[in-house]
Amino acid sequence: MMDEANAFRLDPDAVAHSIVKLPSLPVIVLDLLHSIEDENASAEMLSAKVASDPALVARLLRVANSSFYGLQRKVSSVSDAIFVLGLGSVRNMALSATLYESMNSQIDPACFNFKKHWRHSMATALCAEALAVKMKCARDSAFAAGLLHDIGQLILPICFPKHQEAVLKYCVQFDCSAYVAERALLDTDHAAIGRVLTEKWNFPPTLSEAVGWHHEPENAAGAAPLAGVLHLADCIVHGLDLVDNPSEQVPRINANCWNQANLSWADSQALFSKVESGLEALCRELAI
Amino acid sequence: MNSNGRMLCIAEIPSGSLLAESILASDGRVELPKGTAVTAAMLDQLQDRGVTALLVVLADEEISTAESAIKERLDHVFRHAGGNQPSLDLKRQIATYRLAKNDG
Repeated sequence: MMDEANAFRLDPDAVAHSIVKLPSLPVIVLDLLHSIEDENASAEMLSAKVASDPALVARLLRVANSSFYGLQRKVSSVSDAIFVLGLGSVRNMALSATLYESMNSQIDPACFNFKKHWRHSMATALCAEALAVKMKCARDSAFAAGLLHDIGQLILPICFPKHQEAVLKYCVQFDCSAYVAERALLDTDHAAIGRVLTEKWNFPPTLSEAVGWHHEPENAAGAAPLAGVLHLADCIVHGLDLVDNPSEQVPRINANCWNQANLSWADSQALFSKVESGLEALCRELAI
Repeated sequence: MNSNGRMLCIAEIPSGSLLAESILASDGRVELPKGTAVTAAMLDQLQDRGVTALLVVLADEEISTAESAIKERLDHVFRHAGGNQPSLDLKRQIATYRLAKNDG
């Protein structure tokens, strides 16, 4: 196994340089992410950004008027949606729709099953948003981090297909997660790669750090609360088994994160229901 | 509930176990109905009041008699979770959720 491990070791510089082969991100994604931490971000600014993309406006209004929100009256414009649902919810919707649309149209389905990846990411975002309240963390940052936590998984199939093939083979042979196989073969993993990518894309530093440590939240110094929320949300969503994956598996759960969330029986049942129904509604309305 | 339960000392009862019979207050009123999933806080309060044992159905027993397919899938999904307390708790909570949905 050692020979194989050495053969597939991935140089961090090679990973950083491979970003040019990845699908490009629409400018609005970065604007939306930075506005989360911008205290001066306003409803007018968000409306203006979203309004420049008519397809996005149409999708947003469809989701805003869906059963997911169960509004009493019809929402007819982006500013109306922000007024009724709040800036954070509309920004999260815009992020989900834009990221999915952009990535899905550029990634070859024969190379990577982006729909499954996105279902897991959306569910993690919904779960992280709900956990953030219990774990004293910003809800919007948690949602965005959930959407992006596994973004590093895109790089292997697109930029290093032979490495990806070796990782998949290792997973089957040893019945382990991609994370374990990546550590064994590549000497890095999709979380660390995700951190490199999001730094290169100039994502907010706390978000990059949380993405990088979502499998080892104990190492996330500056972004510890967000990494903890992300770790727990990821574990719960794997446990809920929402993606049609025969080899689905829950990673080892960090006890500190679990204790910090302090989920009562009633909390957990409400959380599972919220994630599951939210995922189905959002995927239906965003045509995922 | 599919089982009559077993009498266990308070200290041996895992949170999430279901009461196999209602707990009554001294005036005869039902304080905790049969089928309640007991929490650690509830068990502590009962112990403080001098209750030493309860008739309960363990969550795992309830699962095995109710839906073996759900349990098997959960065992598979949690096979690498390490078996620490958080993973046991999460597995039980998801089992309850899945079984309730299955019944509903």
